[in-house]
Order: sequence, then C-alpha cells, then structure tokens
Amino acid sequence: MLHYLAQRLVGALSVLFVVSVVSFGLYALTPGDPAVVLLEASGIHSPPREAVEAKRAELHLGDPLPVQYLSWVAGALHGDFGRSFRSYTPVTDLYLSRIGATALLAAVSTLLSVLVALPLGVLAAYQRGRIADRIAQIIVALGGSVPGFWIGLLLILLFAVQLHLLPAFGSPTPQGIVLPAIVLAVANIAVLTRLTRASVLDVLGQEFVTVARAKGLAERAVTVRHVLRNTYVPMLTVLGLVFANLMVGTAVVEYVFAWPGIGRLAVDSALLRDQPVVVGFTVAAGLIFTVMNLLVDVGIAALDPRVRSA
Amino acid sequence: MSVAIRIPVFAHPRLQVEPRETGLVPRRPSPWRRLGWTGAGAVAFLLLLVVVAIAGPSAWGWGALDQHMDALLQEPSITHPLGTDEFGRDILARLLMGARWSLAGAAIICAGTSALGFFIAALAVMGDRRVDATIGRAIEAMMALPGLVTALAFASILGASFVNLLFALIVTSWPWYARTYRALLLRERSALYVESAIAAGAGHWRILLRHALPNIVGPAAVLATANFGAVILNLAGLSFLGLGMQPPTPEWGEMINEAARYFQDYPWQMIAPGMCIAATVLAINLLGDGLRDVADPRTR
Repeated sequence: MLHYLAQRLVGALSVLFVVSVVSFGLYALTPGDPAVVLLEASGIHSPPREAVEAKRAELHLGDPLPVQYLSWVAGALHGDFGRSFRSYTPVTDLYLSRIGATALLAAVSTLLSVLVALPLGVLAAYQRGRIADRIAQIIVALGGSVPGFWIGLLLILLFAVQLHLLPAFGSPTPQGIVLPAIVLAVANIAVLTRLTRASVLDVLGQEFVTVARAKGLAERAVTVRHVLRNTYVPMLTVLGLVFANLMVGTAVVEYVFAWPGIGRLAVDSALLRDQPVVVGFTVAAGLIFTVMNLLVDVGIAALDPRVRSA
Repeated sequence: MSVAIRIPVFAHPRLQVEPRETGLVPRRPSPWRRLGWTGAGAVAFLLLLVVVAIAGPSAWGWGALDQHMDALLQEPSITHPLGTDEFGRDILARLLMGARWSLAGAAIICAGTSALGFFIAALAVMGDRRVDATIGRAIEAMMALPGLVTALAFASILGASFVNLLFALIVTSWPWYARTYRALLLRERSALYVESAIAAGAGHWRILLRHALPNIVGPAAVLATANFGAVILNLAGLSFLGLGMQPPTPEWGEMINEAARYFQDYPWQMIAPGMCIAATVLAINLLGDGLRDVADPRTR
C-alpha cells in the first residue's frame, strides 16, 4: 500500500514539475516589458526610468532564465504568482476569491450527472437491446453532440425569458445554480451512462455473477452486492476526471451564465492579455488534475485490495 | 470469464473450398452492412455537408459578409430563409460559409494532432527505455493541461485568432493520440514484417512510414473519427468565447457569439448555427461508433 502510494506521489511530482516548466515558459514569453506594465497597472503612468529599473530588479528580470525559473518556483511554493497586469491584485487572491463558486458548480453538476447516469446506465445494461436501452442510447448520442453553451442559451430562453421561473444570470444561490449545473451535466451524463452500461455488461458476463445467481441469490442482491461493487473502480476513475475537467472546463458555461468562477476570470484575462492571471490558471489546472488523480488513486486502493497488494 | 475458442472451419488445406460457391458459410457482410443504418446515414449526411460547405457559399445568392442596411434583423422569409442579422447579412449564407471554417478547422486540428502524436510515439518506440520513459512522463503531464488552458495562454501571448487557436489545440491534444499510437506501434514492432524489413536493411523511419504506418492506419482513423466530433465542439466553444475566429468571418461558434447579444429577441440567429453543430457532431459520433463496432465487434 505504502509502496503504491509512494509511486503515485512520485508520478504526481513529476507531472507538477512539467506543469511548472510550461507555466514559467508561458510567463517568460510575456510580450512587452512586465516591469512597465506592472508599474502602469499600479497607477504610475509613464513610470520614470529608475522606477522601471527597480521593478526589473525586484522581478529578477535581469537574471538568466534558469535562475528566474528557480525564483519563480520559490515564489510559487509560497503562493506568490505575481500580480495582475490590469488590476494589480495578487493572482493568488483573484483565484482564491473565485474558486469556491467554480467548485460549488462542479460538485453540484457532478452529483447531478451521477444521479441520472448511474440508474440509466444500469437499466440500459439490464434491458440490453430493448426499448429502455434504445432510449438510453439516444440520450447518450444526443448528450454528447450538443454544444453546452448553446443548451445554456436555450434554457435561459425557456426558463428565464419565457416562463420567468429561474434567473438568467447564475449566482451561487439555489435558484441560480440550477441551469448552469444542468448544462454542465448534459455531456457528462452521456459519458457516464455509456461507461456504466459498458462496465455493468462486462461484469454481468463474469462467472461470479453466474455463481451468485446459481446459489439462489435474489437478483437485487446480485446487482447490489456483486455487479455494482465491481463497477466502482472504473466509475471512480472517470468521476475524478469528470470533476477535474469541470473545475477547469466550466469557462464557456460560466461565460453564458455570468457565473463568478475561475474559468471566466481566465478567459477575461486572456482576452485582456493579462499574462500572470492566465499563467495562474495553468498552474491551477495542473494542481487540480494532479490532486484529483492522487485522490482517485487513493480511493481505488481503498476500494480494491488487488491494487493495494500490487 | 468465458473464453471463446475459435475453431478454424477450414483448417485442412484440402478441405478449403470457395465458400461463395457452396453456400456453406454465410458471406461476410459488406462493411456498409456492418456499419449499420445509422452509420450509413451519418456517412451520407457528412458527404452532403462537405459538398454544401464546398459549393454552397458560391451557389447561394447572398454573400456571407455583404451588409444590407435596409434589411436588418429580419425574420425568416422567402428571400432570406433564415432571416438576417444586425448588419443585414443573410444568415443562411453565413451558415454555409461557417460550415467551411468549422469543418476545415476541425480537420486541420485532427490531421495536425495525428501527425504530431504519431511523430512523438515513433520517437518513444524507436528510442531506448530512458527516452520512452521520459516521453511517457511528458504525455502524462501534458494530459493534465486541458485544451482551454493552452488556448488561453496562446491567445494571451499572441492575441486571439483562428490560427492561434488551431495551433493551441494541436499542441494540447497530441498526448491522447501519442499514447494510443505508442501502444499500436509497440504491437507492430514485434511483427514478423518489421523483423524482415530490418533484416533487409531498411532504416527506422522507412520502416515506420512505409511498413508500420499502413498497418495502424485503420485504428488510427477510428480514433481520429471518434475525436473529430469533440474537436468541433471544442472549437465552437472557444470561438464562442471570442478566442477563435474573429468577426466578421463566420464560423458556427463565432456566429453564436455574435447572436448571443440579441438572443432574447431574435433567438433564431443562434438556434440555427447551434443546430448545425449538433447535427454534424451527432453524425460524426454515430459514424465513429459504427467504425469502432466494425473494427472491434466485441464492444457492441
């Protein structure tokens, strides 16, 4: 178990190393002179030469790139990712103030997709080839083909503009989260239903299911105790990925619903060419994926003794 | 687990007869039949779409960029079957032109990613264990950076444009392809024909391109098709955010971006391009599923 976890941790660290190199590379590629841009962002217009020189020294811009990288990593380890070129706010503060809204949306949406996809997938597998399976297949095909932001606009049109049931602009309130969570769930319901159906079908073909049935176990008990338990590992792996993808991939939907999350922050910053904030998003994405992968690995080890002993 | 044992029907050479003459063995169904009617329908739809994207813009009377100040924001009519936008441009003309950019963009991304993925997988397979392990780690790490992240970074450094977006998506998507190609190439490496090619004195790249590549082109095409729909969706989403195609050039995602400003009063403007995206991606996904079933019937 310890050996397995240590192995995973080393893998995670090497991923973070690559992410840090890529992020620093993007930071170093910033067009223009960061010192001038930052001084102007802090309110000093056409800053004097001495101020620019002092700022350059403060940012270590004169050092060779490897040294700059090391000081960048040292700062990053203390949570210092520089300041925004536009608002002069520390990048870390910008993300910390907004990550809660994105995490809430991602969590609600993941939960919603599981609540729909799990029963649907199991039903489709048990009714393979019959009408319920056909309907599930159509839902899967459609869900994976429609652009989320477009569904979002249609739902706003129906529920906010026509029926006045829900607010058009999302805010972290119970009514505000409904539409964005549904929109984000649509594509994931397709993915998760397909996965559940495939893994249940796979397990149903195994001999221990035949044995369980042969010894007279009720079908419900076979499903709960033998079939579903064996789908946990692939489900958990994909769920971790789905949640991580939502954490960094909600930008388009956040944009449609004016949701105050990190995705919109990153998109707005990219369009304003606010490089430090965009680089902060790269780091955040790398961190989120690495942490989620680690959690999934730990979860799999907890669920599956075969993995622990390997 | 049940193991299916394949009993060769005509194991003995003297027993081997032409199945078609005797009618003993049912003829292997044609690929079309095996693709299923959904797959065949999808192929027909996509062929039609390609023809429309190529010929449509010049065949249709209105230009995609022509502004008509006397016909702003019109409802669908006989002259403008899908109405006009806030500059009086014909929406159908813009959809037709948009099909070109959306499809061509996704095709370029798929082709570019396939080429880059193949090249990096080839480096991993040809190199020694250390090279292979390093590339494997790089693939794993790059998978932690989704397309949006790189697209944003490129837009921030180079400015938002269609070409930058294509470039960014190719740079981000290669790890998924490289991982599959590496597995495929590793399987081919131990094949007899590779050994004989080495014995005949063929170089690494010659073996890869002339011998191994034709052998993995089938699975590679299935992968690219299955991915094509996701690429169109991704491209449309990022164009919708303003990171891709810039106005006034029409692209389906960009059209929704422009129409979103008026969507409460003129919903048709954004419904039409969205339906185009959905129908195209659906057709591609159905084709991808069909191809996968043909390539590997067990997953059905």
